[in-house]
Amino acid sequence: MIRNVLFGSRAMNLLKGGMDAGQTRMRVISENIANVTTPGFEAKEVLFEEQISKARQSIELAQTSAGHRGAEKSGDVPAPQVQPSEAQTPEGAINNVDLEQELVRMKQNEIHFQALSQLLARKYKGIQDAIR
Amino acid sequence: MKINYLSGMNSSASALSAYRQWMNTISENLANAQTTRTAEGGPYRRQQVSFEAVETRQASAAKPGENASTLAPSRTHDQHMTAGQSAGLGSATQSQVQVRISQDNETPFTQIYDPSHPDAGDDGFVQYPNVNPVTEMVNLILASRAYEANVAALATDKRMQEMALSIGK
Repeated sequence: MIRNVLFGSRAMNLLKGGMDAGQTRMRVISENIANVTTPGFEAKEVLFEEQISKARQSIELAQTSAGHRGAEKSGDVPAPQVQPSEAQTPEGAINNVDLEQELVRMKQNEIHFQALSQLLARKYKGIQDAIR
Repeated sequence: MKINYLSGMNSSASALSAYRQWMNTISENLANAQTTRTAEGGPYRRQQVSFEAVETRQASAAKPGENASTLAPSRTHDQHMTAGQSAGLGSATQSQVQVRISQDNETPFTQIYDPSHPDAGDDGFVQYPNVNPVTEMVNLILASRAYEANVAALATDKRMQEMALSIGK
């Protein structure tokens, strides 16, 4: 119970979910970069931010019993989704991995991840200070 | 083994070793660009590499029933989501790079007329290896750039793990 009060807030779940997505995105980018010279490789990308806004609008779980977990109540954050990239293979190229794009995305992801981890650390620090 | 967060490094590591092998092959080709005699007979044949993406199942991917220990919602209605669905476990594979080294039997040997050469044929032509230094150098640049990109990916991954760990500090 106290666990939920301390760590179950929607903001905290979003931060955790965002960091999870950052890890997944880093993994997918690593795979794309690793296969930059592999003929016929299909680049992948991660959907997460879109998932959140979609989840806010559309998910509404019916609660026909008091024991059901509600969509909002559980503070569920959608899991990051890995899907094939929509990028076209340029003529004469061996696959649709764009190395520069991937490197830029990797850097963006890192900075975003840093921001999220600092915010989360600050949240925990706040709780710790309140307990003291 | 349930180490999910380090799996991106496996891809980078497989790529680093693949590009290192490519560079080694290029070195071998360049070193033997003038070799007219080999143990198998005939001039040196160029080695070439090809890359293949290998999908490996992630160690952390929850097999059906395996994730029951963490979360097992009871499904009392057929429209209920399963635990796997809600956690989005569809992306349980991981791409690594595998390198294959083969002999280039397509490109013909270079023929140079030099009757005084010990390996010259009856017609006075010497068969030199089918190694084109320009092609090899271009490939070397490609390999080294790809290697650098993977080093950058590995470094970023490491920094991100450190950031996550620093939350507990």
